[in-house]
Amino acid sequence: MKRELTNKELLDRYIHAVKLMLMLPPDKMEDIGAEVRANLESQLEDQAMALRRELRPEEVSAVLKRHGHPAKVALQYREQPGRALISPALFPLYWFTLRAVLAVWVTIRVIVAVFVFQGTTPAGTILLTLGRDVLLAAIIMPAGVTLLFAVWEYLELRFRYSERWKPEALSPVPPHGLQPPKPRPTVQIIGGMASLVLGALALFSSSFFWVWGARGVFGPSDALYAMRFLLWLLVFCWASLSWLGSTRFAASRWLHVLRIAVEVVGAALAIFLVRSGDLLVAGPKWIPTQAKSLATLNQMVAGVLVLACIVVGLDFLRRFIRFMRRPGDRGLSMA
Amino acid sequence: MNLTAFENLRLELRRGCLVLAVLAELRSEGHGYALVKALRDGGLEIDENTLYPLLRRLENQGLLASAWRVENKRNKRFYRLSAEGRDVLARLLEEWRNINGAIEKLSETRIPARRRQA
Repeated sequence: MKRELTNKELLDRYIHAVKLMLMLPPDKMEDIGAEVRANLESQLEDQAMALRRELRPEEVSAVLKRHGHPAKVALQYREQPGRALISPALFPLYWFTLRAVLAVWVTIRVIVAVFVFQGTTPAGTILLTLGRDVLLAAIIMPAGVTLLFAVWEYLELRFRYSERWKPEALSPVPPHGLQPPKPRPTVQIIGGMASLVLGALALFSSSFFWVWGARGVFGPSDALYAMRFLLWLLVFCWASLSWLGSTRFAASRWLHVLRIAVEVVGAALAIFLVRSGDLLVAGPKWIPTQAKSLATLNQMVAGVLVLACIVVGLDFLRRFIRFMRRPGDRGLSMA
Repeated sequence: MNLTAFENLRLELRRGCLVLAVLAELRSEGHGYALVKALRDGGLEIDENTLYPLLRRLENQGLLASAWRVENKRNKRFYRLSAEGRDVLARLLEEWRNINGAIEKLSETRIPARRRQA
């Protein structure tokens, strides 16, 4: 039979649990523990005096229960109570990024699964692999994004970037306000037709989106693995910095430096890829005998990546021209 | 009536007042539990899990000083207002009176006057 705990044991256990959950240096833990104990002992003493007898263990237990769960008590004593890993100010951007990363990844993975299905792999195996990958991504990607934002939050807390902004450095309001101007119908028609033609070429031409790169440095399949990481990293950085441009960090001096650096690297990489020699295919490792549908997908992915690089390069060129044209302002305000 | 909104606003209003009440009460030395009882007797209910961390924060800010002492055979931590705390309390009380006076004026004088004009 289980032994009933004494009043002292109950109190000791409670104080111990509070101390454990404080996660503070030992001297502070002991100090806070002693204070909570003194408070509880006074309460118990008062209650015993009111009842004119010793308290029973269940009455002590009720007092402790009323005082609150040890974790709740400990939380109140933290140095910065209620501090979140991702602050409310950053949370909307965090939430958007998390959903965007997951959505993009799942879309790409499903497209790959569809293309693989046209090959020789059984449907059941593809579905199982797809399910496993989606589950893994659902765990790993939120962890990665959370870690990135936590680092951002820490840097913000430490260096207070958001407090260094100046109203003068904010972007001017465009003449058309928040709504971008509507493109002309001819531009829309030409744009639509170009998309159709490019899409058709991507799907049916075996060589349209193949990219040349890295002669003598990598073999085709090695180049694929080395380059696609850099390319994705670059696209990710560029997209992240573009998002940053519309947040409270928009006026941060180092943001502009970082953005310029990323764009310079993007432009240089795009030039390198266009000028170099051997075949580079992004996507799963290239095997000359593999299914044609998979090869086409590889080419499409490569095409998207290279287009992204070209966009980064052009964007840099646009900023550079604006910077050169701006009289008397040659600081760090290229954006 | 929107009870949640009222509760949130009430808590927000009380938060600042509690600091003032604690500082005012600690012009004479006292330990945490006695302070809870004193505030309760004075009509300000405060949760111990709110009060003790608040006392620590005020001490870290240099507004309170504390020392462990034995009372009724028990070791207790006694708090009192520091010199800086006394100065801050005096200024906060003045601010409180100004706010109180302004709210009184706004709620009792101006709104009926406007209504009369309307």
